[in-house]
Amino acid sequence: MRGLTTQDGIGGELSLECGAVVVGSGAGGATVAAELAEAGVDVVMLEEGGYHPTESFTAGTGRALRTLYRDGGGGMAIGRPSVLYAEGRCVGGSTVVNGGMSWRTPARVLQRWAEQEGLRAIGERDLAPYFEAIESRLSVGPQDPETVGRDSELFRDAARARGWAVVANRRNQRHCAGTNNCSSGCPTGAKQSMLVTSVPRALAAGARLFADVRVDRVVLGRDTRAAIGVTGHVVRPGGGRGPGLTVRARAVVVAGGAIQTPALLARSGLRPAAGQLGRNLSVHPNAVVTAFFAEEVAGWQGVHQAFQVREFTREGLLLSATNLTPSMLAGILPVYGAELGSLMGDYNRVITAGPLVSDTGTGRVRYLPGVGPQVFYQLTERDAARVVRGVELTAKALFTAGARRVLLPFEGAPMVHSPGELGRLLARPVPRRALQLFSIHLMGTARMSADPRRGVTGSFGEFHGVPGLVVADASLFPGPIGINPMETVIALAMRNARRLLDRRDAYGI
Amino acid sequence: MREFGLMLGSLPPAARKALAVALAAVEQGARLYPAARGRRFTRLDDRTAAAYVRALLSRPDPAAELVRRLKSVFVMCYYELPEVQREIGYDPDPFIAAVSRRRLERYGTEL
Repeated sequence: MRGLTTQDGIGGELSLECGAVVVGSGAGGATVAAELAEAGVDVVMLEEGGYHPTESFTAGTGRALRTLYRDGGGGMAIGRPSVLYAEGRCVGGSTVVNGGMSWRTPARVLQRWAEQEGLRAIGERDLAPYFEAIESRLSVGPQDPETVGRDSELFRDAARARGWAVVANRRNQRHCAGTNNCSSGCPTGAKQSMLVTSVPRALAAGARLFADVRVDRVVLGRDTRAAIGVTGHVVRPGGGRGPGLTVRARAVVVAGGAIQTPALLARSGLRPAAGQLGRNLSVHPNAVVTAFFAEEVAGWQGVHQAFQVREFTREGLLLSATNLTPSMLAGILPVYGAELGSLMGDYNRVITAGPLVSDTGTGRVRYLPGVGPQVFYQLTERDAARVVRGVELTAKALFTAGARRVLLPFEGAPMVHSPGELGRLLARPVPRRALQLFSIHLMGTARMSADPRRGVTGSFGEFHGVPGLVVADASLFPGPIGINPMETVIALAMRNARRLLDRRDAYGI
Repeated sequence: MREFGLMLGSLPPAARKALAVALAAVEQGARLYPAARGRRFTRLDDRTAAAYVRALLSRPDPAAELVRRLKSVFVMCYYELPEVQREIGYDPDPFIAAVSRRRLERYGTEL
């Protein structure tokens, strides 16, 4: 790909100069890079992960975890309970491994952000043009019906039978084949991830992309305290340290996601006086209910997630059925030894489904020198109760769908064979530490606020007190959004890029 | 073992070390479990090994989390093996090939 340089193309120290350097090539970074490059800005994009083209994507979960995810997908937010999380780390970022769900930010969420944080130009109408552009460019729409799997159909029908509101997912896809390979990279290229959209757009417009490059610090001018570039190094296969790299730029855009962005800013010595950097982490805790059916379901034969139950959004709950590969399922089932082997023998009779909780609690990302970012998250009692409520609703729907037995995501929980048993089990309190939770939606650690005492960044992602430094990822969110965040990240990134371009004379780009 | 080695290789050095320490702790810690009668974990019969794991899981300290993490890594590697996947009826490659063909046949002109 023209404009792309990977680690094997960098033999020695590298020094570059450009108008804007963009750290990260996911939903935020690739979008900003494409918008700026198409407007004629000289852009350098730096991505810590490798370049893995569509042709390299297979059904191997292990291969995907090793090559497309940070730390093999094994992030953990420490707390009681701990929350497992995964971050993408490759050209295209998490958009390469997400489910592709593309939803506009709910109007009530935007209103809350505007009111609480005094943000400007962030209403539904303000963002509508960005959403329209995204949906057109990324081909956002419902699935072709032949790609919907039996697991999704059963869960949808059961939810409807219970009178619940169900919506067909809107996804960034061009006639998705329904390979169910979203989390390992789309092998057909149908998913319109940044890898096949905004990254090539940026490169076609003249941007330069350096993959396998880890950014160590944002560099500030000695006198001006403005961002003037970044330093980093090449990451060799196996994680070895390669040559150093310096980029001088007139604008620095950081888009490493809600864990890596605050970590990078903290190790660059940027510590806003209000102490908000790294705080306010939201994770949308997920839990997985595993249901066993008499009939064969083969949930892996169909799109990753086709529907969402929207009946309980006012309670902060979203329910959906999402198939997990055997290794993923075995990894999360709260059973061991022979019992695990026996349950996995029924893999083709399984539906996995569960709630996503719009959390009220917050966590924190701390950067510890020599160790790296450490994530702490404490689930609140209120959110724990909502997880249990979401699990109960999901299990009820699965029984309605015909499940013979259901395993709840609570450590030590017995197999449940009927709604009656479920009710009796959940009549007793579920210890918070027994909940098995994971997250793929990490948000809010450099939140926008007009008030520098409350936030890290301003209305358009500009870092308070550091001219020339802009954030463009989910760390901007002033709180959880309750739905899949990708389209919001892209819209905010476009908006922040627009702002940079409106002021390009001031930035000198 | 190859899959496990590859997975280990993808972890940062600190996590790799932590995993090695955790493995050693679980292996040797079994000696302190009364029913093990001084044997290490990999020398236990299935019943005693399962009881030892249950005992670790019920502890109110990080040992339980450690066991959960170790189990996840091991079983994820195990269920990545093609022969194990075939045994439970998971064979995605022919399916991916078929639906990819279907996509091209139906929508090829639009792509």
